[in-house]
Amino acid sequence: MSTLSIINQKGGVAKTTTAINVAHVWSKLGKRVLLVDLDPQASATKSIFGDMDFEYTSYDLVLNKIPAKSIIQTSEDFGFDVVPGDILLSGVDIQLSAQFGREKFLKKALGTVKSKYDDIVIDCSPTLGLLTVNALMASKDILIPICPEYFSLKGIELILDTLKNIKTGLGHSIGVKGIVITRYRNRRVIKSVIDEVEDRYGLKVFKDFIPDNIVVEEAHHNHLPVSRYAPRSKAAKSYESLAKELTV
Amino acid sequence: MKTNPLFHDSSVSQDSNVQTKFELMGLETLKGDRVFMRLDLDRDITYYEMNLNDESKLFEASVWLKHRKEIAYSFLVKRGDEWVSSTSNRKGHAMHSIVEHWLTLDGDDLKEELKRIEEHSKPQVVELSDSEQETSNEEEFYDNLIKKWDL
Repeated sequence: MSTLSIINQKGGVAKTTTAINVAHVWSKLGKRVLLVDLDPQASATKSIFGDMDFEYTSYDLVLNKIPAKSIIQTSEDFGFDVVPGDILLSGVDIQLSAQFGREKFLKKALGTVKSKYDDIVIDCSPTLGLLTVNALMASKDILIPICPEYFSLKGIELILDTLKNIKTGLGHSIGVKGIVITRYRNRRVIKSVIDEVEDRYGLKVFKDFIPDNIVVEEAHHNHLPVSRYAPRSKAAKSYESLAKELTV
Repeated sequence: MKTNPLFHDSSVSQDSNVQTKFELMGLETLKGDRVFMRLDLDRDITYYEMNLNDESKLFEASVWLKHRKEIAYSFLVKRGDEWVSSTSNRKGHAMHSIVEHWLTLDGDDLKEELKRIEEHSKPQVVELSDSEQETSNEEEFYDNLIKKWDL
């Protein structure tokens, strides 16, 4: 069992789109996948289930209030299980801050169901706080989506610093699977971004760029994975290749 | 020195010991070179030999320390009996691990640091007062007599 966090403190980099579509491709490959929506905006949950309400959510999971198995929902369309997100997650840092072992609550909660899955994908909150630290403490690896038009090296540095701080302060080492370029339009911009990332940090940049394509938005709106909504689209093919490359 | 409280391990109290793993990256050594970590704990200085991890290519040493205690440390290379290079002295807090890049001092800074280290690594010589010196001489006299007569 492996846990992958999709992380970038910057919003609008297709973090959620990447999380749900990678999880979907993995499930098509026969893997048992759980997606944990840890973003207070609950974009992954809305994309998968629309405006459905859930009695228990990732808020209850993180605070260890309800057992994971009672929170998990299944999406037939996406083919994987989901821990729904919740706006209440925005206050969870305050509730956790005084707790003993506050950084390992999510890891503890997921430990009770991890044997049921081959992969757990965590869609992280776009902020750095205890919620994100909990996601990282429960993860073996991270994947960083970046949007080349709004790319900044500072953003990458912040993520790498966070991993270093988790290793030194909390004793947990996390691997970086690599960087996936999302919402791309201009190939020349991408070239300069790849050169900068590879030269400066030696990080892997996945060859499958995710295009800024209207079918991605339409798939969200129709509560379907891109590869079911528009199987022949460039975006669907890119996500298929990315998900397969991530398993290697 | 400021540290982000977000990354303080809440399950380890400040009085508890934590095994701090020092990792040094970016150092290339010659065959036979030995790498040390010089740890300064309230001016109590200890040298720990670091081992090369063949997989990660990092030099490593683990030391049990009081969690979050302020520490100072540097890294050194010894060739034969001589210290040949050193990083500057760095400050930090004892945590689960400390990861540093090798960045050697050079020129006069290096000479000065190696001289300081050389002086410190010699056996300590304790200056005796006059009365202690007399006592010591007296003891030496009787020791010699005992040896001489095989008593």
